[in-house]
Amino acid sequence: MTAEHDHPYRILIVDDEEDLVTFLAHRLRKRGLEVATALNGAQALAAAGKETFDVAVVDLKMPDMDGIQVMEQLRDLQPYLEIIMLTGHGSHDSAWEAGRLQAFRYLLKPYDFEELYELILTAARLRRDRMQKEFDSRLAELMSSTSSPRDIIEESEKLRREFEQD
Amino acid sequence: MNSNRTEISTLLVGGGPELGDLLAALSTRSKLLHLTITACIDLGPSPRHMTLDHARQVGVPVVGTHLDDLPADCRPDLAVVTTGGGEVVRAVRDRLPADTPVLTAKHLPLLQGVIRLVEENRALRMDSFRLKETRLRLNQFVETAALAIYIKDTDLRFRKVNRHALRMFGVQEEDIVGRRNFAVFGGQAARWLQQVEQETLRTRRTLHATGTLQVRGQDVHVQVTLFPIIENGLVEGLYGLVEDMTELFESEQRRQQVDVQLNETQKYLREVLENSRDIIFLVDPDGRVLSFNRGAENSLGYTGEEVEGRPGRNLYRDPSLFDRMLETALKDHHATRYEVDFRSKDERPVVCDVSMTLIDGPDGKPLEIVCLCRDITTRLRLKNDLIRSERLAAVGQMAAGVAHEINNPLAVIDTIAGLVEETLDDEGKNLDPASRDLMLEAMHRLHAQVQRVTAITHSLLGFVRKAEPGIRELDLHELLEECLYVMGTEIRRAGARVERIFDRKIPRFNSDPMLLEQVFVNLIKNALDAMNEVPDRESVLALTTNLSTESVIIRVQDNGVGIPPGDRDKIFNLFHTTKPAGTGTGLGLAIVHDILYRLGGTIRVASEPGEWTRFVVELPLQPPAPLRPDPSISNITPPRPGSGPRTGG
Repeated sequence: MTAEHDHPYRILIVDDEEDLVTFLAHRLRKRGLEVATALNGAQALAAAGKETFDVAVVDLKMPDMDGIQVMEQLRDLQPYLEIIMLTGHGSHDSAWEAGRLQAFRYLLKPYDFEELYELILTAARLRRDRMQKEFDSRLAELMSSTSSPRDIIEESEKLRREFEQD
Repeated sequence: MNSNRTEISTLLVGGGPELGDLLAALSTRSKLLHLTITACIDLGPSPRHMTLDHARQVGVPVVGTHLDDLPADCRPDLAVVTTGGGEVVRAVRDRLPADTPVLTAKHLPLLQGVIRLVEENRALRMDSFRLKETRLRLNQFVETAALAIYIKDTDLRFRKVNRHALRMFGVQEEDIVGRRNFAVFGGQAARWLQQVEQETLRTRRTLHATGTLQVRGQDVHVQVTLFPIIENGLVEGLYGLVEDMTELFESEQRRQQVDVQLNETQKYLREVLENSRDIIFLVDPDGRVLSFNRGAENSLGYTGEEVEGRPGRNLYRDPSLFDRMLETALKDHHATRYEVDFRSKDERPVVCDVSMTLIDGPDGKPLEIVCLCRDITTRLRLKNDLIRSERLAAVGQMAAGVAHEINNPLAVIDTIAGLVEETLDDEGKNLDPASRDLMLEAMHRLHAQVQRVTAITHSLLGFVRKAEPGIRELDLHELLEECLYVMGTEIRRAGARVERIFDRKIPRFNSDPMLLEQVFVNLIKNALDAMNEVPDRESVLALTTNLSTESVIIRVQDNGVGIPPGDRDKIFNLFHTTKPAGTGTGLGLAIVHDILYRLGGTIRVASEPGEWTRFVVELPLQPPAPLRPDPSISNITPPRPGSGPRTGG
């Protein structure tokens, strides 16, 4: 199964459990997703600085910083990013915090792989839809505010670059 | 002798006993008859001359046996001749002056009559004298007796009042004599006494009466004896004897009062004993139950009749412990044991702290033993609940940590298993079909086992305690609907029909909705599991709510497999499960129990094996504030701003 979009969905998996990251990435790739991995918060932020992701799957608990911080900083870098939390804890407090930051969903480890996969697809689709809408409205705004056709082309090109992955 | 009286000198002539009798009669009464015997002639003297001897003794101047013995100058005023012969009379007349009267035998009856009259008069005078004497003595007695005595006339006026009575009545003689009761006593007392006195006069009988006289404003309790005075058949008045009984009366009254108080005290004690909620029973030194109070009846379920007269040792689950305590009590007067298991009628556990106290009888021998038993069953249960909660908290703390550590590798295992499964599916065509199927099946089983462990670790996460309470207002029915929604897939899969019997009067109330959701989801999950074990019956899950005075009651009932009686106590224990291997974790009900404990609620279970099970949850409308101390956080006090040590006043 592949994304119906031109570009495959891009996923970032952040977890300090290397085996999990490796094999989860492997399985998701088998399903046609583009997957990047990070073993800690720093790596995750570095990856997000380089490329844009549709969905980040983030472990709530990591050695260098906790999942909530990682989520907040990822959001700073990529405001449209959807985030799915994974946690080995059932802590309601963390869940609430995640909800406040509008994580898309959170799953208890060990998760059901199919459930996670469906969630990723749903989140990614939602993100792309939102992006499209945003792009359309920004473009419409641009068209109505800018008089020169040349400007319009230049600006829309900038906008397209901003929204599109390289 | 009276000089103005004339003595009649008398001559006696006769013979035989008549003369002796006459001499005796006349000489002894000579004074009264005013006569003096001056001569006595015994014409026929008895051989021993008794008459003449007697005459000499009484001082008769002339005595003889013949008329010739009379001197010639004998001139008596009277001659008495007792013999009948005419010659003797004539001879006497011849010797005396002619005018001397002579009484002959014919006249003797007259003389005897006179003598008898004189005699009677004398006796009368003696009687009169004695009477006077008696009266005098009586008066003296009346006057001085330590007894109040009064005399009244028929008009019931005081005639005479003795000194003691005056003192008792507190009056002077002149204040009372001639007056009636009303002048002396208070109205009521006067009327009472008057009635008794009238009764005495009317019935002419001696009467006794007790009553109270008011004397100078003080009550004097008296006993009155009234005698009618009857003279010549007429009631002339009455005597009244008054005894002051005040002291006796008061001591009697005090005794009665003490008796009443003693009775009251005994009654009070009896009631305290009888109505005490503690188990109190008495046994004799042989250990037989003498009495059994209401608290005992309530706690143990036996009636007094069922137990009294029977050995008290049977009330203990361990009768020998009773024997040992009784022995100690008989020896040391006291015996105490904590947490003694009692045998109640319905086999319900009853645990008491027992103290036995020996009571000695008046003879100093052991009389009975009071067994005072404080029912600590509930306290013990609460204590056990707390211990259970503490244990759960400790287990929970550890379990949550462990669960996290296990969950990560589990996630890896499951992911890898899935990967292998997929790879076998997609690229395993080169493998031998049999071994490929085996490996696929193996991966499938691996996946199932991971799910089983996951169920446990996820349940363990239910123990994670929140530091901050999640108490807020909630709608119970909305919450139950939410639970049913969450469990929707499972309910449909079990094919269960859900019945809701909701009491719409239940108001919104404060509790922790998140914890309650865990409670009811767990209970519903349990019910579904129980019903799945009876596949050939239509599954009915009934949720019932009721509003009680200060709580709400929620019943979750299924028509599943039921719980055997022996398991009912254990189902709330950690890791106890009756479900088939792989289905239950033994955590759900332990968590439910723990959560309800912390929310101030309770849970009970009733079940008919093979038929149904009902869990009854009771929640307070006001949760305990703060929540029951959560052992996992109770020793952590959050730092409060500005609560540092004070530096001065």
